[in-house]
Amino acid sequence: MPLSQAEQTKFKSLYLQTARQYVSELKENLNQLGTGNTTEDVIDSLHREAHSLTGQSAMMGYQWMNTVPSLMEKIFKARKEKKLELVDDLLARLVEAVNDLEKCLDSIDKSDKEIDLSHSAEILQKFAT
Amino acid sequence: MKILLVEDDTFFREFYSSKLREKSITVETAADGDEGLSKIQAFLPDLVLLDIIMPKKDGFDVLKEMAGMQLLPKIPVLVFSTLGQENDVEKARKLGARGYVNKSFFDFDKLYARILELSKN
Repeated sequence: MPLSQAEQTKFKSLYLQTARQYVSELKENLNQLGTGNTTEDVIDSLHREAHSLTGQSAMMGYQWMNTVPSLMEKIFKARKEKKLELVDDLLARLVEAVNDLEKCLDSIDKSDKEIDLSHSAEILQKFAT
Repeated sequence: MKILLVEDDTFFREFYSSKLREKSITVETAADGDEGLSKIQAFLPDLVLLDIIMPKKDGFDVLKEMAGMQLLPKIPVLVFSTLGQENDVEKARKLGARGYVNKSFFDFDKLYARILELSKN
């Protein structure tokens, strides 16, 4: 179950701080992939960052901040298991999705409301299945 | 009661530490498997809450090393999982974990009841 309103308010600042850190790390590691550095360490980090963002967003009750990283987590897990290749088109989509997550966090910060990330979710869903 | 929370995510670490301390539980934390293993030996908790996906050593590595040190029969481990980690939970059970808690689906009463049950045994 999501947190109570009082707990959500109490932990919102910590959520935003840690979520922004994960988004920043996702960006940095996707950039590494873009420059050809596809070591398993980078893939492991991307998987962990998407996983952590998914979990804490679910707990805070944020729908899109849960859904989009969850799809990313599936994509990175499939790559870890060598079931999927991170081709240029997919990398570009992942970068766009991370930029959307950043905007969504800004919106949560300012108005306590998420922006609609259904477009990113639909695109990533095609790769995550 | 003493609980060690091994969790790389700062949000979950802070949140659950705070909730457990409200119940007068002594909580120690570790941010990865390596630190977790050191603190298990130094702190000797009554129970370990263990994340699976962590840097350095993951939760599976921690369970394997705890088993190697004969610590698993004495110190119960509850896996701290999220939705979609059913296979991970099953693997952890086979390595000696006593159960799991979905850390994203917050139900502190259920978690606390499970902690009391395991610590009595």
